[in-house]
Amino acid sequence: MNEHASPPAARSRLWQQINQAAAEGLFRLQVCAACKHVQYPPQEFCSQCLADGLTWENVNPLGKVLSWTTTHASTNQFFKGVLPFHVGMIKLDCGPVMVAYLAASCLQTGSIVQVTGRPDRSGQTVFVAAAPGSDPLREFSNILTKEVKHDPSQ
Amino acid sequence: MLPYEDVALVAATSLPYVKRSERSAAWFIGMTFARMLERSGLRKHDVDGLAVASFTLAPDSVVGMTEYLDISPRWLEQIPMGGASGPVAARRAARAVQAGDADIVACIGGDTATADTFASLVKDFSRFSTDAVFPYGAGGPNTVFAMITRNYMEQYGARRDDFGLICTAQRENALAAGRAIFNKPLSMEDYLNARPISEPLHLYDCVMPVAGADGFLVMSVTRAEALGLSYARLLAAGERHNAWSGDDVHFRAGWRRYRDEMYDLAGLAPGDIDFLQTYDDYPVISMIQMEDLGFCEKGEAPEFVRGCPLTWNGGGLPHNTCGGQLSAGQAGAAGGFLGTVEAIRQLTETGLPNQVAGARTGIASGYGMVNYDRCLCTSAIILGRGNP
Repeated sequence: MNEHASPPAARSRLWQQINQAAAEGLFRLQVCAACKHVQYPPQEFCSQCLADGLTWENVNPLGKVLSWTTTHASTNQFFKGVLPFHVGMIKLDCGPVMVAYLAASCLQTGSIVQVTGRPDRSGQTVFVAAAPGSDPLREFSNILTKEVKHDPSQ
Repeated sequence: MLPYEDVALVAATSLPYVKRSERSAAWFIGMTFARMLERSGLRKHDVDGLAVASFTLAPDSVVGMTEYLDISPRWLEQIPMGGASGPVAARRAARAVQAGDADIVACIGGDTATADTFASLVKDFSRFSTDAVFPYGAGGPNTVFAMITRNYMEQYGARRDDFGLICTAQRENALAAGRAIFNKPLSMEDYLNARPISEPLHLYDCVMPVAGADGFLVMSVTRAEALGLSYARLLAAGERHNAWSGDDVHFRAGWRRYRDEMYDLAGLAPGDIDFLQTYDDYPVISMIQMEDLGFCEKGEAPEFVRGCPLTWNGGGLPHNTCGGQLSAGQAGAAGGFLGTVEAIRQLTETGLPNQVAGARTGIASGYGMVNYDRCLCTSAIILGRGNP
């Protein structure tokens, strides 16, 4: 692994809210105050009712695997050092479809997963989907940072 | 929808694709423009409309192109739709010509490719992508389309060798056409044994980023005939974006929403179409176009490709007759023009090495812009042979 390389760190301004929630050990997404639509990826107004009233709320982190891939190639130096790994599309019970790292034990369509936000080696939050109750850090230790400020399982 | 009356597409022009170039996108677009003038016998000031699609033209835009070319158009359009841009350009230029807003419109898609243009393009492709896809491996569109492909395989029983039928047939077409970067035969064994990129996608399911440009001119049939140009007639066109946004995983797209109207307008049915040029960023997307454009029902494309030869001379449905992007490479937004330009070429030229015998009608469809977990833009045109 190239020790100096890092995953992409660029995010939108709204992503700071995701980082904050992850630091608190919480799974917080935008919810529309008017129509209760859960929005992901984050944006500045509700895509459904167009209300200017999205608020950050704790939502159910459970979902199921819609599809997945095993990545063997990347244009990024950091990822070249940690290949291969799995990425899934997760249908969250609260509504949105989320792209997330996916644990090897969940490589099956329909698998029930819990999604957790953790900082990767760039310091920005990424989401990891794994069997409920399992430790996402274990399998993705080469991608996630070990410095977790708060562990929700404790 | 108003009919597209007496709209001609002429001077199909491709600037040969190269793997890397130090030239700018403006050079690729400008040289394509020059060749189109040469082929049509027009002077540059005869062109009063310009539509451009490009990912790498920045900090310039179509506006800057007017100064590079030193022309003074009265109709100007930049189409930020990537793989959907060719048919969209044809459609919008046709309406401009019909309305009298422009007499002759040059439509050009072109991009350069340096060592890092592709990496920087996928890094900043969209805000949703930057936040929620790119961080997961920086795989570009491969990550998302691998998952779309797996879902399609599981839902409809598609196998890797079904995708292989599309890829190997296109390589046969590319070898016949003689213009593609990938100019070695591709066997099914080669296809199946290729290294994995983002499973279930392997090397030959993915397009290689290259530099290049494609373009055509749009004018009235009267004008084309007065100039003595061989032309294709625009019979119908459509575009639809972000269709079926509620589908959890992408398995259909906007074509299904306007195809019936297009066939009605053209007075044709899928069975009357002599060739099909789909947008082939990944073979599963070609399958989805075959379904959504009505060549078979949803989920039946795997069976369709097993039974229907896709080569230019196979007697089935000639598909991506120049080899498509899977053989030519993906020259950025020019990839959105490749099928349209090949369709015009098939209907206006004679003696092509990959000529579809007796072709009188064809479809070119486009697909572009993976904003989050699917591409949002779709487009399609039906063309007919103009000159008898």
